[in-house]
Amino acid sequence: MKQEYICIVCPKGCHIIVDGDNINGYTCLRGLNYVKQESTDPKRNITSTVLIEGEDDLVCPVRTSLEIPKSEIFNVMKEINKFKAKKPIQMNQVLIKNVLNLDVDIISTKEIL
Amino acid sequence: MKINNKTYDIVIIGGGSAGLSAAKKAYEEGISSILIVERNNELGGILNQCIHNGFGLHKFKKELTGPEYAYEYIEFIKENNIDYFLNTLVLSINSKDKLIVCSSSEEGIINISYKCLIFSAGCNERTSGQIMIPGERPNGVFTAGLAQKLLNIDGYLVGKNVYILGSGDIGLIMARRMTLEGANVIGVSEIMPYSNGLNRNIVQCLNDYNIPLRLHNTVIKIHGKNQLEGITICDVDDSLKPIEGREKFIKCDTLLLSIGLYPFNAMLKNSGAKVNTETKGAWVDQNLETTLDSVFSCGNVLHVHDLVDYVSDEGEIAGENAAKLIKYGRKTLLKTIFTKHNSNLGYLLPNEIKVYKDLNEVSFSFRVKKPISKGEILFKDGENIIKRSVKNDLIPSEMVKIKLNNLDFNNLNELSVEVNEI
Amino acid sequence: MEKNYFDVIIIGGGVIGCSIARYLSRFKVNVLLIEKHFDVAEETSSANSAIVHSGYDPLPNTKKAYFNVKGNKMMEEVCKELHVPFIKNGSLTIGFNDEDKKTLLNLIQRAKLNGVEAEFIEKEELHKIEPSLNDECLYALYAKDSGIVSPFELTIAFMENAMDNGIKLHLSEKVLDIKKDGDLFLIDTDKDKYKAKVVVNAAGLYSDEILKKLEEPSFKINPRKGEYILLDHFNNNWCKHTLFMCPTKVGKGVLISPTTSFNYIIGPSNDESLKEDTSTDSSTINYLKETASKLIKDIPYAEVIRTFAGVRANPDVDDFIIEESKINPGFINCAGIMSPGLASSPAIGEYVSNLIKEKLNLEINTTYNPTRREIYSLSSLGIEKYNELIKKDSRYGHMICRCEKVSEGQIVDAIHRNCGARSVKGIKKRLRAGFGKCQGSFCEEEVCKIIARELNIPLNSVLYKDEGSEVFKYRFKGKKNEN
Repeated sequence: MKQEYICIVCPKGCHIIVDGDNINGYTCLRGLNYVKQESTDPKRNITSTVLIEGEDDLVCPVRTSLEIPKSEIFNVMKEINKFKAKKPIQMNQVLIKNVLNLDVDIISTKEIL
Repeated sequence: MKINNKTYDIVIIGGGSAGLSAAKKAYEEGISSILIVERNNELGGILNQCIHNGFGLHKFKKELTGPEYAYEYIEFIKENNIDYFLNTLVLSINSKDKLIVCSSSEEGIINISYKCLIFSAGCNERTSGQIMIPGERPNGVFTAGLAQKLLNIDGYLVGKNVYILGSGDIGLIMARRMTLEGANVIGVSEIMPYSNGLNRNIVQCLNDYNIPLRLHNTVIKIHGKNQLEGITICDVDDSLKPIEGREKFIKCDTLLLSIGLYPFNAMLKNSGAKVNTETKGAWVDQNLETTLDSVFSCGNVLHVHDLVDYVSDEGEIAGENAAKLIKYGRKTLLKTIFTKHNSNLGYLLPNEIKVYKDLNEVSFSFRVKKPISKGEILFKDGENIIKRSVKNDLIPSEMVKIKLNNLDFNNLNELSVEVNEI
Repeated sequence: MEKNYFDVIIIGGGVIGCSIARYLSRFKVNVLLIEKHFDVAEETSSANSAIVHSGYDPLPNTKKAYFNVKGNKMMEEVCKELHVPFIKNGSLTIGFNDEDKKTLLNLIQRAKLNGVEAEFIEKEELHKIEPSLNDECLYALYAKDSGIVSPFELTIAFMENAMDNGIKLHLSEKVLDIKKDGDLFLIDTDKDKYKAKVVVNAAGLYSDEILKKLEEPSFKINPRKGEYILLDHFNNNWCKHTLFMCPTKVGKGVLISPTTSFNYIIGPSNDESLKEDTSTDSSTINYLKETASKLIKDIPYAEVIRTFAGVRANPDVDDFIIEESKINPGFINCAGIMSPGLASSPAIGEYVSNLIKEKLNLEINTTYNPTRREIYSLSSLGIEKYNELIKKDSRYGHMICRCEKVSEGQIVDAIHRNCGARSVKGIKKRLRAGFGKCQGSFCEEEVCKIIARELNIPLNSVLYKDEGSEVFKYRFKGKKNEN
């Protein structure tokens, strides 16, 4: 079955067509890898924020250290929402280790001292 | 009480992506007397609230979030002890005396003299007032950027039932962010027949969460006196006029506007700099120097970019040329060539090329006015074609950058850029 | 004295109610002003043309003519006392043809009868004093005493000064019922019950409904909406005078005028509407653009900040209603105060307060201070004096609104004054923070944080305007501040 994907790896947004083992329209290796993954087991990075202890109007931005399965996005969000970080927070500090046993960490994306 | 005076070789207005990279480049070029003036309480500018990833692929060959991208530069600034003032607003630029007037709690009013000034103050979001959306003026109508700041920095959702007008990237990014944080994003309307955001954002921000995008559709009325209660959306015809009978009421408590950005160039304009009427930013030469002596402009205050990596590139150009002007003084000007473009381009930068001896390379950036599926890009001196290239899928939301090199600009009489559909 | 007893209760915190409060505070008297909104100046007084008319236009021997001319003469002094910006920029009523010329000459006669200076000028002089005008503008009635003032700044200043002198203000309180009981009026609100000897009905759009709670109203308010376009201050010389169009059978056209902040206002339309309908619509805005282009071509609509609408309290009689009820003496109606109500406001305040003074035999308040504490801003002080202010209070150095250059110090001051700001819109009306082209996209967050801190309330309870308009609605993680 023919399926069209828009590559999200970079801002170019290539249209890639997957027809069984036939893949056309990609312009780089990352694009090819993306569409292989996307057509079998789509994955996403997610970015969000976590609360900080003692702060009422400041949150710390976070991201997943690696992509997670698309189907796990809202489950991971639940874990992120439960978490409260303690200051000082270093850049890319692991805040939640191996979230939901996905072999992915939730890491900070800002230094908050 | 006396007003404090300070002096720096290079003063940079705005500590966002353009200003930070200008500072870094100028420092690398050997200038150590640099001051960054930032109005916010931290460096990084809008990058701090852009916590999504997708930055830096071009500059750092890795995918970073906004704060991570900013961090790469902020660390450099701190390690090399480059001066910066936070919580400091520039009140005016006096280009005749080469000084700026600032205000802050710590320093009071300060006059800062410069040898070169780099204006990198960023852009503003268009508001509902500017596009004159009819209806009431309740709470609950936010520019996407303000809602983003409240969400990503302060940790507050401005509403739970959200509609988005405009398919600019900030709007798309906010559709996903608010969905992830528990809001119900009802849909996005875009008045044009095509999206103004990047394709990847349509896929990963809207399609991933089944948020509908209505093209050729807009908000024609805002309801609710005190707090937003709903909006009326309507399809529009080819002249973008609402079509009678195609109205639809949508109940929501929040309307986010992602309807365009424009350079926050008022201060430079007020100090006498010539304005490019197409970008609303400054009129610049290839070194990004404005019509004011030793005043440079770069980043979103010059023209609105879609990629932060390109903003950093532009900051580097301004930083490098400011540094060179201080180090080597001004070269003898051979001639000035004003650039022109045909009607398929929305704008073209630089506006003029100052030809000095040995000038053989100039970078151009432009946007097309409407989508062109296959475009021929021509650089011409009169009828003489200097360079021709072909590009697919040219769209207004993506800036095109092209370099002309190995060319003796002194041989040119004029320079125009054309894009034609082929 | 009984806790809920007042000599005078004023219903309505618009420019008229607040002016009456201010002039009443010259006397030893116990006054309460009740306003249903979260702030004063929330309805007609927050959205009108902001013109201090010279007084040539009202028919001679009307209340309108009397109060307008008198109010115009008082305004400069009043604004000086209250530290409200007032500019006597003069008005030009423009004629386009011979018929207009006749009308203008007749209006000059009327001006004479009203005791107002008005001069007829021809094209050459007209274009010399207002170069932006269209070539088709041929004649004008020049009224040099016409001026501009911010209606909400004036209203707020009246109320603040009244409170400085002892008047009480209750906000977010709605009058539900009014009864007469012997010499006293009994007023029930959604919050409390009061007694008063004198009641002033300054309820603007709702003055007929307020009167109806006591007696069969002698008048009816037929609201008429006016829509406006507001431009940024892009060039202080673009249009210096208030430009009116010569009235014709079709109507009064629209005006273009600078404001005291050097923005420009274009409008108003004049359409029947509901009292609470302050919505704009595109066909009316297009009408404004089309009509205004007769005065100035090529109006720079790229400089539009916003459009807005205000509703006028248009009465079913031809004049202002400023009189005591014949059925219930002590109940004073101040109603139907549409244009030139703003210009008339100090004169009406003075007149009504004098009336009450006679009625209640009031003594002079010897501690009355007509001067409101100055509001410090960069533009009013100039850079050197402002620098000295920062050295005294460093918060004045921290600029919050970058479009209008409003500092944290000014915001804190505006919150802690009498009749202080408590909402985003309250700050906007007092200081113009958020009034600029970015419409608060950059400063609204910081303004909310300062309000929360100064009033010691949670951030997510800071309001945009009335109750129910929280800006930071939901703290969305954890449960702590969940709304």
